[in-house]
Amino acid sequence: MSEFEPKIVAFVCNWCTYAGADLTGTSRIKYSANVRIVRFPCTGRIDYMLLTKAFASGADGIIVSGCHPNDCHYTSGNFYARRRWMVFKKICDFMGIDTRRIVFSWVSAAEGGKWAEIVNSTNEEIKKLGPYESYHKLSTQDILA
Amino acid sequence: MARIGVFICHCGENISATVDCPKVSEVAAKFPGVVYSIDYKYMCSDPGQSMVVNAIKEHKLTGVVVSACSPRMHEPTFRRACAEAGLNPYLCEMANIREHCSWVHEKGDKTDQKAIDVVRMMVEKVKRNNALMSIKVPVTKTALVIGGGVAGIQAALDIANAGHKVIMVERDPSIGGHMSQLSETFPTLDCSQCILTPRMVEVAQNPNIKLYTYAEVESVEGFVGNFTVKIRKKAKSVDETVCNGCGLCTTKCPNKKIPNEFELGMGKRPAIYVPFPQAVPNIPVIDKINCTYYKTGKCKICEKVCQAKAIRFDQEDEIIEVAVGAIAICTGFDVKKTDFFPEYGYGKYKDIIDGLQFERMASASGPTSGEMRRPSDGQTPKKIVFVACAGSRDPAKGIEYCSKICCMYTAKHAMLYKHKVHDGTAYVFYMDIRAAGKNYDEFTRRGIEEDGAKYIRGRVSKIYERDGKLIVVGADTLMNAETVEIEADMVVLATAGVANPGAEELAQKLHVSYDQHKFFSEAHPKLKPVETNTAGIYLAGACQAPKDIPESVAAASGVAGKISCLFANNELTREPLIAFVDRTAPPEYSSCTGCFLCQPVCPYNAIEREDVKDRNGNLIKQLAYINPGLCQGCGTCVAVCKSKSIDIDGYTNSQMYYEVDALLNS
Amino acid sequence: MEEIKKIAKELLAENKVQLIVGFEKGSANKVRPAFFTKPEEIDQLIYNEYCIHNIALYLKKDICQKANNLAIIANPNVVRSILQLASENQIAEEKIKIIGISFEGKCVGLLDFKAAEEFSKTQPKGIKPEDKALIEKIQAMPLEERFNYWVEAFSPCIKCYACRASCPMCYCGKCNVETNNPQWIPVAPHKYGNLEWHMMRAMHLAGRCINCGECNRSCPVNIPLNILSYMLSDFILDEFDSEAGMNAVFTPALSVYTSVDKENFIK
Repeated sequence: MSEFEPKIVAFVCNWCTYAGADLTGTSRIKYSANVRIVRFPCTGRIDYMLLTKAFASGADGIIVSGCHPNDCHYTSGNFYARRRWMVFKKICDFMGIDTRRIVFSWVSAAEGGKWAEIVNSTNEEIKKLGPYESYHKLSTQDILA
Repeated sequence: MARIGVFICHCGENISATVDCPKVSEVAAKFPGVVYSIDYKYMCSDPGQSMVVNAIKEHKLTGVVVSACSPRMHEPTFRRACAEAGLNPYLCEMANIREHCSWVHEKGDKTDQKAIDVVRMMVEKVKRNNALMSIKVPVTKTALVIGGGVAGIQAALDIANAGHKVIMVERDPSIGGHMSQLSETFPTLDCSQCILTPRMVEVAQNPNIKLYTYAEVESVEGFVGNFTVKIRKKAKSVDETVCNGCGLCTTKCPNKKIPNEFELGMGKRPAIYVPFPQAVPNIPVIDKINCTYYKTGKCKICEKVCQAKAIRFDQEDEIIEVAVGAIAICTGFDVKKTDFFPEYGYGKYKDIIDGLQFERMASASGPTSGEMRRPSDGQTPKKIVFVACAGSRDPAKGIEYCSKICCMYTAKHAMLYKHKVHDGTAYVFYMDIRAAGKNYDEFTRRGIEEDGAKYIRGRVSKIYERDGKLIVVGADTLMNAETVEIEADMVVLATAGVANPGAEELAQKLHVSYDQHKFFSEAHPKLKPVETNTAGIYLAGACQAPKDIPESVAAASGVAGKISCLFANNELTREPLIAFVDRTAPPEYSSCTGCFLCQPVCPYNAIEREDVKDRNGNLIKQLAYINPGLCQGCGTCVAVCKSKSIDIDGYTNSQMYYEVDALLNS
Repeated sequence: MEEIKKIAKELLAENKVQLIVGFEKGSANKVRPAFFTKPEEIDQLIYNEYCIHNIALYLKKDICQKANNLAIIANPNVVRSILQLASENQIAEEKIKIIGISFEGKCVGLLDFKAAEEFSKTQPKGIKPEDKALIEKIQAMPLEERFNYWVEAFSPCIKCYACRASCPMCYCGKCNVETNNPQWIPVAPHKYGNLEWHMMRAMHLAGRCINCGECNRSCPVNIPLNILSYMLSDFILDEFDSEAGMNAVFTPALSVYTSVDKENFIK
């Protein structure tokens, strides 16, 4: 049996992390191909329901990333996002949703190296955790049951 | 039905060396809704773009996915190509298979699969893209210039000379700013007043410029092209329309012992005063705090002597509302005072002065008529010490940055001193001589080589008084850090340039960002140096960071250029990627509940309350309304809205949902 | 009780309000919410220990919306709901008279918003010891067990939306669960749809829930929904020092931020 390759979805803001990931590319820093990037204007725009949607659709891990505090292109979107993540993480923890599978990070447009590290470390972590079967099962088989 | 075209770019070998482009194209052709799929060596080249254009026409495409480099690179290129073919440019999306794929992954099935997934995701997104029209907003072709220093003057004159109206607001009774206080200017040593005064007069006489002195910005509302500004005209206690500027009142005022701000406390002024003889406008103001009449209710001598009958003791502050299309912030800087330095006696030694005070001393119109006389006893100092970097580049003092202008003005000061006191000795303690600029290094060299200023590389640890002399203790780091002790008659501290008091408050009124030192922040340090993050608000001069005169003037002309560009159009065109609140038919009007929890999260105050009323004017419902002129498209409100009544074009709920869906359900 | 009736009667008799929201006797020994428009109807008004429904719910219904002014018999939960609704621009002070009643059933007379805020602060907060114990029990479970606990707890959910219908803060005209294209939450009452529905509801109430417990009380299959909100309210009070239902002018925790919000979980 081949090695488990996690499906990782990254929700990133356009101005910092997306640009940071562009820089990873221009710097030719290699990282795992298991990640798929979804571009948003700002972390403030990222709806937590897309995160559960991603898990339900088969993601094993999620990265949410944007501008460092005070760097937000829109001045404060990331601050509202930060609070929302805290509360979302809390409710997920309480409901038994595996928050080890959700990685939050700040990656600036200058941090191409950091982006590669975040993806790789998330990939390794999710490999250890294995496929997110309990959630996938819930959203697929149990519907039919 | 969607008819999507997919265009896979090889980017030479940048993509194709890693990603199997023909395979991606082949797979993409089978995606639901895709009617055309092709790969090509250089999609961004002319023939590549023509392929897109032709395919749109030939296959009646309703959406285009260009799978190539980052959208941050070529999105505008391909959107233009779509527009050329008659397809709405916002029906084009890019799938990033270069920066996010071929450049960062190894060749192989996993990488090919990723490229396929990314294309599928963008196909699903583009199916849900809306045709958008750029947003047009009208422009009020009047500029507000805040601050009447050299930057403000330059900006105002340039904008006015381009044929636009300008409103200038200056906090002090006269325009001129710090430049009007300077004696000579580097690197040419021409007289500051001589070059500035004519420009000040020009401002006053230009029919396009409306000048409000002794006035401050009270509030700012609105957005680019359409600001409403309230200006507080502080009461001058003098009727400007009647006063003829004869100045008799200032000579007759019995209270003449007030420290003169313009002379930085080195001279005195009366309670009714013009700050300096060349002031524009030449209209005195009454300093209410020190005026005998305001303090005791008796005096009114100025009123008695005024032949024009211009004195108005009962005048009150006036609020004026103006409509402007653009704002230039030119509020300048301040310098740290000598009392900031414990090691130099907290300002208790009279003969330790700051650079601006030295300027006044060296100025022909200053308190000593340009003669070198130290403040304590009026003697000519025979030994003078200049201390550069007083506060600057000193993280311990909280001023990490270089104040930039001090190296040059200290060299100038040493030269001016030597020109006036031929037998005197000038010492300069410095960390580095930062004299980058046209003719700048030559200038500092002249000070050292021709005028004989003695430069000592090292810092001054302390200054104290002994037998009427100031003992300056420092180190000479070029001489093994040997201790140097100089018995000086006078010391000039090149104190750090800092943000103006009130800068923070003004930034908050204008909703522009500022850094930790309270200097205003530019939108981009390199590519948008005179813009702020708020559209329509610009920056010039030392309110942004310490700047010298040429730089301030250049930035001011830059701002004027930007504003003239803005005013060249009757309407502004903006990217339509902004948020909106849904509207439906009555009796619902919208799914918006009017909870306004979105309102506080908007960084641009773009969310307004809209009243839905019946024909009799009764309120039916209050709904959120997003002002398209103000919204910058961050989408934070979208994620906050519980009823999903807000959505954002370019990143709609539906687009994002199906993007994620497409990624995983393959 | 007599004092409540007296106030209510006077308000109607003197035309100070058009409508009073309170309780009347229901079938058997039960009570039910009722609307009074005439002074003589007030004889039917009752208030006893069974009057626990959060009748602030009706403030967003047509009957109350159409009244120019009204009064409401308000226990602390109702008072807190009114304050929270006011902070969310859903009810105006000039429209409503609050007849305040403490948790012990003591009438404290008419409250304006300022007095209501004081009253709200002095009254005990809702969480019951058994709920607290349940929260702690769940938190102590290993991850997988916690997940299974909730999946099982939600499995009897038939998506009747009684939790939503009984919640004064669930006043959206079009609930997110009814949004299609995209269909964010599956409407079918299967385990997955139930989990996401209840999670979304908890998120929507985060920082806004006044912890009256109506969702739990109204749930026909006894899902402990209230503890989701209790747990979050506790967290939000701890982390952000923010508490719903205490002030008529208030911005809930998720519509504000501070520069010192925790970020030790962000890489």
